[in-house]
Amino acid sequence: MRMLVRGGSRRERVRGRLMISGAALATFLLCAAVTVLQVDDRVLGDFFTGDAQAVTALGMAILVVPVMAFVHQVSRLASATRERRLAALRLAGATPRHVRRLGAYEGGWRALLGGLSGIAGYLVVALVLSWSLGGGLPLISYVQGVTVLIAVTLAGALSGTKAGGHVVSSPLGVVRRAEPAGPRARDLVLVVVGIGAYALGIADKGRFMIGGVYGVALLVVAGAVLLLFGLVLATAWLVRAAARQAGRRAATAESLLAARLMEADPRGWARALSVVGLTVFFSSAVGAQQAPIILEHGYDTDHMTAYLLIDLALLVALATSAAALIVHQAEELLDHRQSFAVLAASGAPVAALGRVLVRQAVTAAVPVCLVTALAGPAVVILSVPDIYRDHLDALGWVAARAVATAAIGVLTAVLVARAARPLLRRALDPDELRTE
Amino acid sequence: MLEARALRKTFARTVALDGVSLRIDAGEIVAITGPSGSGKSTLLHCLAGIIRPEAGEVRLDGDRIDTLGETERTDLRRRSFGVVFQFGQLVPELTAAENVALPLLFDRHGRQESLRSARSLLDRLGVADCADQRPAELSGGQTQRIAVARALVTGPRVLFADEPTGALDSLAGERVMDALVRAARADGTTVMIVTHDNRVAAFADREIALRDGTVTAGVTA
Repeated sequence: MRMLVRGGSRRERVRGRLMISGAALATFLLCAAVTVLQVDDRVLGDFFTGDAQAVTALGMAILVVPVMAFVHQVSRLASATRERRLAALRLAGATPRHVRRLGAYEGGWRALLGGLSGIAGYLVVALVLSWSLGGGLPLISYVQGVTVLIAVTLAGALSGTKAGGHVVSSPLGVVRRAEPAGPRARDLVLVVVGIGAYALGIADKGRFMIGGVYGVALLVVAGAVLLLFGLVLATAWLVRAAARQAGRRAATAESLLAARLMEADPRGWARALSVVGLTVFFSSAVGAQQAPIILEHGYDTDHMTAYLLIDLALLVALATSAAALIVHQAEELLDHRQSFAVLAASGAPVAALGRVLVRQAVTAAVPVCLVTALAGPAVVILSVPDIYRDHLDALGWVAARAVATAAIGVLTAVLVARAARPLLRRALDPDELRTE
Repeated sequence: MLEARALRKTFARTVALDGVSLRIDAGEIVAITGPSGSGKSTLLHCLAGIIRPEAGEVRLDGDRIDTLGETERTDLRRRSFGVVFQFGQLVPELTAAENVALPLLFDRHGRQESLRSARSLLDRLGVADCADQRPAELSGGQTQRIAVARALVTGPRVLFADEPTGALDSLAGERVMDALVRAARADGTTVMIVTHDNRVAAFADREIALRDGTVTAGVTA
């Protein structure tokens, strides 16, 4: 297998480094989250205590999701461009199973390398921090470190295996599947189950007492988490519905092209936007959680430090999701380079083709960000209706934060689409027109 | 009408065009023939304003087009030229009618008007029944006729076709060429076909042969 991995192009090596960096960051964040959870109150007492510590650790752990999504996007891009090598391997006798195992091997060992770098980075930072705080910062244990390393490596291997699913490699070459899979009905199951569990939990009010008070709380939390991941999976449905609407109303070439490209492959956009959706969901939910506390207690240090850290974590998540969006744009342009080159040769202005990218970003991001910005606060408010009954004035703050978060999400997607214009210019190279 | 003078174009160390001069009159159908690597496609790209030659001139009705800026050349290609490629190269996600309507939409025509024009042209080329199908559902011959419709929908003055039947069997190729030539003659469109197939070249009024980037036969009309 090592022999098969050899021979990658320079571009592949760059992507390999990106995957290693992503895995390193994910490992670092997981280790840091464990440390924050274990740290003694006396050490960080000036910054935050008790539940704020747990919330901060959770914020750090959440950051792993966009980082791993980024790693997965990068591995997909790599699989789309290693056409000649895969075809040559198939010609040399490698079976499709070998090709899949190759993806798992590449993803796995890069994640392992990244994981080792992440642990090394974590140790350096933790030791420096411990020294500057006068000692007392607990390092992760050997077992915890190995567990994190195994988890990251397995995630990388799984990502590498799944990444090749959208291409078919044969001895004649590697082609993308003609019909990208559309949204699946099973993607909606989690949303339904999540809403059901959540609704059952909050409607309980001590009448059924499923598993006692803790059972009800568990049901509410499980419902919220299932709903959250369900929304991520359901993003493809949202994107396709939005694309169909946009296609029906399209009056310009840009709008028509944007809508039809998205309608044909909504899952690509959904994958890229799911992390933006997650960030918007969390950010607006955090706003709903903060509002009554701030109104009641003002800006007290304990909570604000934790909230600031969470907001910082969400900003980093947004930046990582922007990187995933850039990778998606690159992949999309790689897929459609010949169509775009022919359109440009036939007189379609480059600026108009650039607007196709922006229209796609707006059409996909607006519904995703709106739904998640509504769902986040709804989950929090419905969990604690009594508090909000006493603090109706908090709803203004909640709405403002939800709108701002959704706007930032859409803006991120649009800015990424605009930033992809140099990639578009490269895709319009007249060399793409040659068939000899 | 369309004239090239001493065109030269190189890619790295390969000389693709080496002092090519030719003239194509209005309404004429000209075939550029030659083996692979002789510079046929590069010549088409230079004449259509897709790439700029390093030396020489390209003139349309006496006006130089090789010195125009990117935007002007793009507008020229959209309004005055039409291009057909070997595999049709339609946008797979659009229906046939939408593919044909696309150049009009890029030229800011209304959607309904553009689709009407597209359907009417598809009817003329004998593929009206494919209007609502996507390229993956069409045969090679149908795809090429739709690509011809896309190139003709703006009423171009010059139609450039790069190996338009290269991916088709002889019968389908003949049908495509027949449709292309008939539509071009009816509209008075000048046609430049790049091909290495003698049967395709036989549809032309005149043949210009290229070898190693230079014209070897058939320069004069």
